[in-house]
Amino acid sequence: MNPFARILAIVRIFIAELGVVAYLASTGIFVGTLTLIYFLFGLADATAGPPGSVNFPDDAFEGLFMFAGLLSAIIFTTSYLRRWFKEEDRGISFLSLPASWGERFGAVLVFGWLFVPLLCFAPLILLSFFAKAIVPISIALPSIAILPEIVWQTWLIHVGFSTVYLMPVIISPKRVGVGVVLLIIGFSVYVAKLRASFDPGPERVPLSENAFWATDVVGMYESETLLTASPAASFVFQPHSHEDFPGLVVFMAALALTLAAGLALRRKTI
Amino acid sequence: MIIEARGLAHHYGPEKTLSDVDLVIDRAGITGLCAPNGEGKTTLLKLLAGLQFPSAGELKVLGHEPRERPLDLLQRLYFLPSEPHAPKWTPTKIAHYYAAFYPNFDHQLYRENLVSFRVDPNKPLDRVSFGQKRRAQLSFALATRAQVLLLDEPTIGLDIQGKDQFRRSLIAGTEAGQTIVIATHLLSEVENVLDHLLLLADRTIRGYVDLGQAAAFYSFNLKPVKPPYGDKGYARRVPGGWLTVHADGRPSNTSLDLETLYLALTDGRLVMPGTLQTPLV
Repeated sequence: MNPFARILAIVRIFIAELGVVAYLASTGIFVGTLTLIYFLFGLADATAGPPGSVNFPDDAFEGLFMFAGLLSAIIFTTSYLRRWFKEEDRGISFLSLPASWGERFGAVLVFGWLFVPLLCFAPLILLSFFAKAIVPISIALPSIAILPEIVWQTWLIHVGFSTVYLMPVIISPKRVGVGVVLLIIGFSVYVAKLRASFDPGPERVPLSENAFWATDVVGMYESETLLTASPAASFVFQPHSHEDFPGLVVFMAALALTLAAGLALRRKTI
Repeated sequence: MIIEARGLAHHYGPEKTLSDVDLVIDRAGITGLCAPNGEGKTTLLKLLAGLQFPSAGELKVLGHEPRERPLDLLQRLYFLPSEPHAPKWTPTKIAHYYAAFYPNFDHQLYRENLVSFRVDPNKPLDRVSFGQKRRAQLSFALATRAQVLLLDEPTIGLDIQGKDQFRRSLIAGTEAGQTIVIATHLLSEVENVLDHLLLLADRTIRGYVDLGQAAAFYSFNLKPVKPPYGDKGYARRVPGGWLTVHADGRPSNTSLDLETLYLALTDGRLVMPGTLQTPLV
């Protein structure tokens, strides 16, 4: 078997070990719970639209996906760490199969960065389209147009957290240091980029000769667009610009990185 | 060199599990690894398999450091723990997914082992008894034809037929050039196939005894009465009298008993062949 075939074989084993029934059951519970959370939080935060209608806020939708990213990272990493901490005596196991570190790492990337997000996010994405198609017009769900950006951020959360937790498990301690540094740099760049693109909204609107009308309108969210220019000037619509990463997520990431480094230093088993 | 350890040490936090372990195995054969409970048998096997990392010292298996878990070593070494994970699959499916990782895996031998061990190849392992599951795992381990096979308490859960088949498979393995290390408390179940006895006590290796040499070196006698005080040997109460072990060249009236030899070398501090040192002082 060549290295590529071994990577695919490892991924196949892990997917096979997941079990179809377990997958369907867990995905069903996962999607059901998130949907319930979404509607509960959505209703709590919903703003009244036109008479008799309800607007679901974008950030509830965003939060739903972010939560999915964190949850998927937890599910994914737990499946490994459980073996690491409690079931290291596995003769036939994913992590003790004859494969090089590189192949092991490659398999984890393919499985954790592609298969698991697909497994976790696909139902949510499909649900978004489905909900949009079936809900009455009086319920204004967030626009599908913001989905790609949210999914991207969610995937990033999943990948970031799962990689941080997995690094000590799947690669040798020496390489963990390099990985942790790269992650910190990558994360910092991403946060810096987000901060740079942060649009405070109304504060940025230049004063116009029609200031009264401008304060009434400028900065208001309309599901997928943010009005950033004074109505007195020509209208400029920009894609929805999300708020900065919540401080809690940054704090959690820093904590996870520290934890990963600690685990790497104390690592005794694969 | 197949296995070579120099000054090997391992600890879990402040608790030492192994220290100053020196070991050289340079020939294929079957080695029985014996130690009291909690003296580091399983830890030593895990160190050899690269599942635990040494705290100090050097360890090489087939020329590689196990902690690096290089592909070449992993393909030539198989570790069967005492309670391994078993996927909820049939033995056939297990081989379908896992066998490709072992270049020397012998599918024909696997099928034969399953038949000999009376394991249904198409019954998922979560629906069979512990003994059947154990036999399926042993079938796979033996079929890997790994150059180094590490087995932790392999006979637990095996019935009489299973143990007999297991011993025959071990002999076939050594004939094919395998080096097999068996950690067990049940020496009597494997004593007929062992070539060497590895004694582990007080967190270090106390002896590596060639059993062919030991058979000529030690005298085993079954006596109706307990040997007198001051006798330079070891005596153990057995049905029918006392089984004694001496290292003074006296004639034997019974065959080598491995459990008694183990007790004589550990509790009895009997000298070992090739040395004038007592193993456990």
